[in-house]
Amino acid sequence: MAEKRKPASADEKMPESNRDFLEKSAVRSLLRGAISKLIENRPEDPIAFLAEYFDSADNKPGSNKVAKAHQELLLTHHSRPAFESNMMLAYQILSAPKNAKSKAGLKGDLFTELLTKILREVPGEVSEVLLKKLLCYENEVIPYDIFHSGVMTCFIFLDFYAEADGLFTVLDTSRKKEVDKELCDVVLNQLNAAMTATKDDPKSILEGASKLRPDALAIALDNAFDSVVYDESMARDEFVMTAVIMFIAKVKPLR
Amino acid sequence: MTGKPLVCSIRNPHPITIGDPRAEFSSGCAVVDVTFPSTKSVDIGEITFKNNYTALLSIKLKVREENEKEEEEPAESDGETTLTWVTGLKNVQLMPDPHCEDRAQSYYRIKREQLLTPPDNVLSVRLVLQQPSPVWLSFGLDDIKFYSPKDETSELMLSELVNGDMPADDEAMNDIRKRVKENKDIPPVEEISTSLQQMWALSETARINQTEASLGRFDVDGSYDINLLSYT
Repeated sequence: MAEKRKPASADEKMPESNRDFLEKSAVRSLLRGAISKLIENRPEDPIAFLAEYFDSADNKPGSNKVAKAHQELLLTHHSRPAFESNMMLAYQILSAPKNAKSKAGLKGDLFTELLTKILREVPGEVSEVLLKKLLCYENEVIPYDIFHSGVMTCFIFLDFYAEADGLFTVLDTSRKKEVDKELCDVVLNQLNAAMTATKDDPKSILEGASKLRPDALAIALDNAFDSVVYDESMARDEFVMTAVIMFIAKVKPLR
Repeated sequence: MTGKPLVCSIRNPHPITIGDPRAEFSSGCAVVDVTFPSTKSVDIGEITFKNNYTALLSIKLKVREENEKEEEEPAESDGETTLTWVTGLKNVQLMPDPHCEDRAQSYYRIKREQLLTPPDNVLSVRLVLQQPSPVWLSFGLDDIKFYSPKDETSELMLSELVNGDMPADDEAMNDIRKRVKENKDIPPVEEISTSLQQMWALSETARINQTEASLGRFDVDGSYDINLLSYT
């Protein structure tokens, strides 16, 4: 008799043990969410991605909306299709009502906070110029279109900034942390010409691209060095700033 | 390849009649008037149409003469001196035998080189259609379209842009690179180009992703129009 009872009591203690345990602690849904996010975003380093994911999942209740939205946006690169759905989720997170009484919707103050957070990697004087164009007043309601274009512009801007920084390193062959001003001017002028030439019609895009071809560039450089040589140089900050201002000039101001 | 199609209004074929217009009489001749709505005269590069039982075709062009430029405004009233009718085509056979079906519904393309006079500064065109055979009840031309002459310079430019990096360019580039190397330590041009192209592409992506949506602001450069405020 005693022998028979024992397994029965064990069953009562932990009925459907493993599955129930996972269900109870909500680990199941968390893991499932993690895996589906992983598949959706296909990061280059899946382990680091998971680590980051669980890290942000840990402080769920306490963390504020902006941090969560930012986390969501950082999951994948902006050129990937999954970024769009992440963007929508971020917008949902931000526009969720604060409490039962308040209405849903994203206002300018949270939007400002988010954009500043996205741009915190670049130096203040650089991000300030862009933010001046993108920011909204505190009380303005931000529709998704504006949110999308603002966030997208910020992320592309980050890439642009990194690229401009990298370009300076390429130009700085002598590792003196400064480059001949004339060389910089030629390169920047060429870039500006290409950027301002492009409009909606497809031919202008071809024309713009042709300005940046190696041979066109070489000819421009050659012409520049044929003329009088000034003994001036340009520092990294100045170079990057000039490039950044060209980028920002193409950003439409809000209406 | 031709240029853009020209905007024009084409009248229905108007049969030429003799005597009482109500009398049943087929002269075998009809006229199609084509006018170009723009106030400026146009250059024609090509005319295309589908034949519809027309045997012979003549084209008359109303052109503006360039040598007299005194009167610009009243083009119709006393501007007649500068406007002249010239013959573009005279009795070109569209159907080898007017009585037979042959080529009665073919497509035709008339290039500007085929016309007797160059069709430049054209204000209107008159197509004279003839069908001597009594076999066909009606005749005309369908799908008449006029095209502007192709822009030779832009064509060239475009093909150059698409497949421009030819050996000739490479040679020139090597030459330049050699010269540049002699006096300066120049960073690799290819790397600069790659980097610049990347930056340019990013700026384009940013441009495409920008929205047309508006927040509904009324201020201009941070200030409000006093008239707008007074109405609220």
